[in-house]
Amino acid sequence: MNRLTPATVLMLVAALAGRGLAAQTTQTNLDELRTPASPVFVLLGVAPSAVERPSTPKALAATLLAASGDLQVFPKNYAIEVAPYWLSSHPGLTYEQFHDPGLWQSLKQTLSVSLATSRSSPVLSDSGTAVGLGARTFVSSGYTDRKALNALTAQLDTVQQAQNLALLNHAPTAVRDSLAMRNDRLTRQLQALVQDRLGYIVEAAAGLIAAYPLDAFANGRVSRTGVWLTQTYRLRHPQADVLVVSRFIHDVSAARNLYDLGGRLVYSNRGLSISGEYVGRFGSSQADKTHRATGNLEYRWAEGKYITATFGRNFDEATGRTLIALIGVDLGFGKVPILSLKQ
Amino acid sequence: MKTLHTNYKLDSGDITLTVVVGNGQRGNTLVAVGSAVLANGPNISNLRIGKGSDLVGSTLSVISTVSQVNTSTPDAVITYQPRGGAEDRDYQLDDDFADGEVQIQFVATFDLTE
Repeated sequence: MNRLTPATVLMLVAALAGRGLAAQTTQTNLDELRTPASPVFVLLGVAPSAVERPSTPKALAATLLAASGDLQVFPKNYAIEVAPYWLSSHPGLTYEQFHDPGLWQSLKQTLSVSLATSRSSPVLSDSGTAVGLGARTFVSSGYTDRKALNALTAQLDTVQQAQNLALLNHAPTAVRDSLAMRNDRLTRQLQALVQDRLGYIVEAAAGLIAAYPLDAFANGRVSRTGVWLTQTYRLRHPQADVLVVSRFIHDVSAARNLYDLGGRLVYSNRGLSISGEYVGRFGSSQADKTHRATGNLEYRWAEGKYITATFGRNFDEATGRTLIALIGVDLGFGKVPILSLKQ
Repeated sequence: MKTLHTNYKLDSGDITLTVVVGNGQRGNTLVAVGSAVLANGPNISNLRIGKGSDLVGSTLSVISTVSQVNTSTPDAVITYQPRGGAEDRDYQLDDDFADGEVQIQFVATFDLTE
């Protein structure tokens, strides 16, 4: 078998650039169906340029007052996301409880609520305002790599204990600064580690949009609702991910339901990543019933240097073009156009 | 650094101390009477400080270093629970991690009185 070198791929890209590139942008892949961080923005169909994320009650009050002109006007084109649990202090929540939360604790500590208003949302057929409310939480948060967590925690404990002694004994500033630097480095490593979850992770989200044509309250109606559920099982050894996503969108104005159900299996070993992906789409009519299935291969031969290949079937389109055949390369210089071959 | 300086009225029985670092953050706490270190670790739970009658006039120093492992909140909170004195008391200190900072030191000093 001929080896596909980066140079060969670049030549192919140069020779065939421009063929079918536009069609790729309309594809819906599995990642687009995953539980969104802010479901309300997805349902509204807008990407707000700025999202307020107050983390204290004082900041929340300040941002609401500022957006509403001291409660005189309804905010327009406004987006806010709040984690209600973290608006107050939790003196009894220990490090151990935070890392091993039960179901109720996980729901509380990962809940985020998003609220947005838009005057340019696609759900509006006329001028007016669309208002959305959404929530997202982790039903199961998985776990942190226990061995790495214990090792880093033990190192941090040692440094913190040395800092306590240094303060008690009025140690020289240089000694205290050196310990503080070590604490800083270990804490940031722990922060990164706890973000990297393993095991069974379940993310759920839901949202609702109400449209107010001509800004008349009496005209207000629920326009779109959505529910997401993403289940992941992640293993470290062997390095494998199983992902199951489901999404339900109810579009009231179009009298249409859309249900997506998909899965992905990824196996990674020594820079090589092999994955298979399937998304089935069901709807109110037979025309909505379609599916997408792809196989993906990715090889990283150096830091930041990748070659990727995808082959499969896309959702049915009016053009009848459903073949997906992509080869891409990233040499670490930035984004290189992806080669697309379509029938 | 956040500090607390108060007095704690003793009784004749054993005095114990529990220190809880909240908000899911990681902290280690040193407990000392005068210059004698009684403990220095992450779990200070019902630590025996001594007999009330023997501690009169002493100073109980509690030094904690807390790191922001949980980035969901910028807040660190610590609760001190001395027990066995004239009455049970809970003292709380909290502080925000400054921008770019991931650690805070708390120092609580209890003057142990009759």
